[in-house]
Amino acid sequence: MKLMKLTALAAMGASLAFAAPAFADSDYPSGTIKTIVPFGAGGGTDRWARVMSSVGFDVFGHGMHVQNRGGAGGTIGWKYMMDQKADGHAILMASPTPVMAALIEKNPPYDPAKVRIAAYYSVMKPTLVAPKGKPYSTWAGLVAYLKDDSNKKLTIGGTMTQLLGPASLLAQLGLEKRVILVPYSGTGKAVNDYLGGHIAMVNVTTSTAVGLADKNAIVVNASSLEYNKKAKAAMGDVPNATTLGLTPFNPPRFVAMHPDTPDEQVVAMGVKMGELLNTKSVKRLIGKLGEDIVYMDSAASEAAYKEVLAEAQKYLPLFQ
Amino acid sequence: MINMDALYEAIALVFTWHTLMWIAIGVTIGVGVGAMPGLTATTGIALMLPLTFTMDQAAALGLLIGLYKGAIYGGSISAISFATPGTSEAAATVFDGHKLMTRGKGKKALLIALYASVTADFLSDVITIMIAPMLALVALKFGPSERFWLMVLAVCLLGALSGSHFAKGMLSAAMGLFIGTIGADPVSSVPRNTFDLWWLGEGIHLIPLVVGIFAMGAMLEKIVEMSTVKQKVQRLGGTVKGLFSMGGEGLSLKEYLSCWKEMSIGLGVGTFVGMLPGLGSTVGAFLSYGIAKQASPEKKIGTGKIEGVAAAEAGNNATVGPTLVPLLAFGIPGSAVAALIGAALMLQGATPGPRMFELFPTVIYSLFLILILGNFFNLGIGRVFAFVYAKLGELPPQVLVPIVMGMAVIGAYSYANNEWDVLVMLVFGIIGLFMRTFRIPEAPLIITFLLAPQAEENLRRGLLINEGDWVATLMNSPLAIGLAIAVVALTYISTRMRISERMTEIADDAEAAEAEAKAEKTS
Amino acid sequence: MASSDRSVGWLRTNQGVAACLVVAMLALLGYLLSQDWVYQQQRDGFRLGFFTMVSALVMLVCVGFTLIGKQKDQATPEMARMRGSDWLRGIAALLTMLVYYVLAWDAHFSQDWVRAILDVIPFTGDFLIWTVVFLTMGMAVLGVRPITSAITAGVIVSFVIFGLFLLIGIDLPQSVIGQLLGTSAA
Repeated sequence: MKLMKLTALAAMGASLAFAAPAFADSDYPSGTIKTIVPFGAGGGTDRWARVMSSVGFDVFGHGMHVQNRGGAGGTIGWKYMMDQKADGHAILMASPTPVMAALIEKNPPYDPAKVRIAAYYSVMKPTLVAPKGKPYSTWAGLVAYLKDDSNKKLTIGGTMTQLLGPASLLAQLGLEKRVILVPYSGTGKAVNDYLGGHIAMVNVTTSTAVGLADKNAIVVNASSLEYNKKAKAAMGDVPNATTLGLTPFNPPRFVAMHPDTPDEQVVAMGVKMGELLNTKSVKRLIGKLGEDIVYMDSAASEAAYKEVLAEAQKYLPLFQ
Repeated sequence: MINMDALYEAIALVFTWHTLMWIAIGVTIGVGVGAMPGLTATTGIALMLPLTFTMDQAAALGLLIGLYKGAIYGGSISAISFATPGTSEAAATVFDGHKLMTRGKGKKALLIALYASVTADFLSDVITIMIAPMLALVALKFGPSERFWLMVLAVCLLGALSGSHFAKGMLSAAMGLFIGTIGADPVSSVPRNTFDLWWLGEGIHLIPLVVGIFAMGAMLEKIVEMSTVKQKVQRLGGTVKGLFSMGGEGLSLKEYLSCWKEMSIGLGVGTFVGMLPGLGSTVGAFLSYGIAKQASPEKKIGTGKIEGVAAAEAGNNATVGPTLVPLLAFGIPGSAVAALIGAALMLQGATPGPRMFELFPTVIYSLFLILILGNFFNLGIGRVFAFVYAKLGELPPQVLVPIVMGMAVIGAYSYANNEWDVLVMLVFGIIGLFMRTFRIPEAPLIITFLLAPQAEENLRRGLLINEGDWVATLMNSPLAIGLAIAVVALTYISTRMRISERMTEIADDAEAAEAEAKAEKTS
Repeated sequence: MASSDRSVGWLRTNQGVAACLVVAMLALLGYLLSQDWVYQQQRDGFRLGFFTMVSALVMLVCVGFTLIGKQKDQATPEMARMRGSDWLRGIAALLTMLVYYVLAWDAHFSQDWVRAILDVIPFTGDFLIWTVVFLTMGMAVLGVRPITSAITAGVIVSFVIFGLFLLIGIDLPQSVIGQLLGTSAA
């Protein structure tokens, strides 16, 4: 039902985006959009920002000026956004990383709950990968394996954001103590250890999972979203949180704005983002990068963000 | 085995004026970016990536790989000319390179840096092309335990880099460890040792640290020198001027060949370090330098020897090709640069991964050809650049010092556009000045700063996986046991060597003192 | 490596410097011991401050060895030469760089008082102007004469740096020139 809610909201947002030219005629934005990337040049978020900004002028009538403000797990960039005027001309290309960093920090420079969200532009699908032919190569097998206390605990590697996916699913079944969550600073290192047999399973993004699907089993998708056609073709039928009747973990990529930004600007920015993501060249380039566009307008994404924030807060203690 | 049709097609794609031009542009930008303190290969490639959206495959790869190779070499130019490493991987080049420069052998140092870079880069590319899948399988054997021992082994080389005062060397290493613990705990991600400053939550970045300790340390020392030895300033300006005149001492073939041992060490270490995810070219350079120093104590590397420059430069450039191994073999990028090149490949429609050789043979062959070709461009363009940049070395210090200081600010900031990085750089500037004044060697600090957090991370990851069982963690596999034995053996050998080294040093010191006394009498 | 010149004051010898460092290290250890996070236990059993404490202790031990080691009476030539004013000169240089950075980048480190000062000064956040000022001043202070050549060099170098960064595509703070050229973002 979670999925239905989410997709319904998304569909609503989408229809709003593509059938509401009213906003386009207003004089917002009146200048260049400062597009803050809270990481150094070259990461995943940076690539999204650079692809999206390449059509910024066509959509906004003004350029999108990408500024990298890296450091301190993305908190520097987020803080920088908070220091800008709340006039709708500065947006943050956010991901779960600065949210987690602020949740873990004792004296965070901002409250990750106090933020306006113009749009979701993607949702990651934390995907659990295991070797083929193991008793835990399928979700049902994994659950049965973990329920049998005579079996050893299983190790799952991945970045913290990614690991929250299977952690939340297993915690809902009371099985979180039967696995060992092994955090890595990057997916590459985690996959390296997994392929070398040093950890039992690894949790990765869709594009990495597609690359591994050939010789490995795809166990579960912890989000409520379906894979795209290409990924489905490579990975076959993979259960997701919704098909399993569990609460999903949907880590978003989103456009954040200053908490004091006026409502109509947040909404208008969300609508524009929808237009931007719907342009041919963005669709083509993002597709080539192996990523999926998942658009949600401001209202839908703020609701979804609240849920994912609650999930993260609930399961972060598992790491500490 | 070789798909000849695809190879011919790749040759036709790569050997066009268009592609060759982009390789040349890439190398030119790369050397320029690398030579500017703070700007790294990653930054350069990230900034150029959007340009490749509209390019064809071969040109895009040519631009990015050319830039990568150029930047890794480019760092050494400013390291030698101004004691300011342009990139962190060039920091190890400062030790011998800048000493050669001040002795009037700057041209020789720049040339050996270029030739060692290109030689090791070329050979490591060949190794990558020949046995990439095999290398990748070796890399997989390195899990948390093996990596832990590998880091310990690397840290054991510190003895060789700790200079003549052992306690000061170890102090430097401990400082590196202390600085390395600033940031997030590797298991829980909880911030630690941040002095309650939220902006230290991710820890200290390598770039502001290196720029601060090396570049600022050196510049502040120059300022102090200029003020204390005022009357010498004019003369000093005159000697600096002479360094890069056409008559500067070049590099003979014999000298180049005499560095074969150091270049081989750099090649081996760099190739190995490059293929393991997460280590990077800075580790390659310092390790290679440390091993070379350990391997031939009689060469006195560290006192301004071309062998030292060769070892460091071969060590960092040899990581270039092998960095792509995990990407090509499994589709997992082992470094930020590899991730960017992977993204460029994907944008060109070729998803990196094990089936790449079957699915996109033309792309693979083009990539290999460009890897090899890039070295020749680096050789030609790097040579020109080396001399253009080195001309700046002719400037008197009164002009040079403010420029390098300005560049350090720009570089420390531009690396991540993080204002706090500038502050960090300045703080390490004063620490760097103190270290120079008190003769605390910089190398151990950088090595432990880079490796100790990784050793900790892997040790604790191993303990987590093995549920707190130390024996299972440390003696996980024959490879781990082998590495542990190597650690013990290396410690034993280096202690013995230290003692003999100390003896010769004492003898040398006595000799030097005698000579000095004689000179004083005659003057 | 070092001179054992008797005329060098004790404070400049290895022992003297090490004594100061011992005090600093003890202060650091004291500070660490007073922090809550040091004792916080992690899920793998390690305390959060374990490795930090280890490094601080090793530093203390190393400084201790320097204090009593064989070379304790020697001073490094640099240490023997450095006067108090030289240290001040170094710190002044670093502070000048900080001021240059704050002015040229309009950086206020989230401090309201810095912001307030910056709002009063004209041309903050203008890379070219402040780089010219910084370089010219630096060269002049270090002894480049006549002043006109310092100014010329400062202007040329600033423009070259600005141009190079423009070519590579790295943002430097907007400048009057940049706005005239239309190359800087608002």
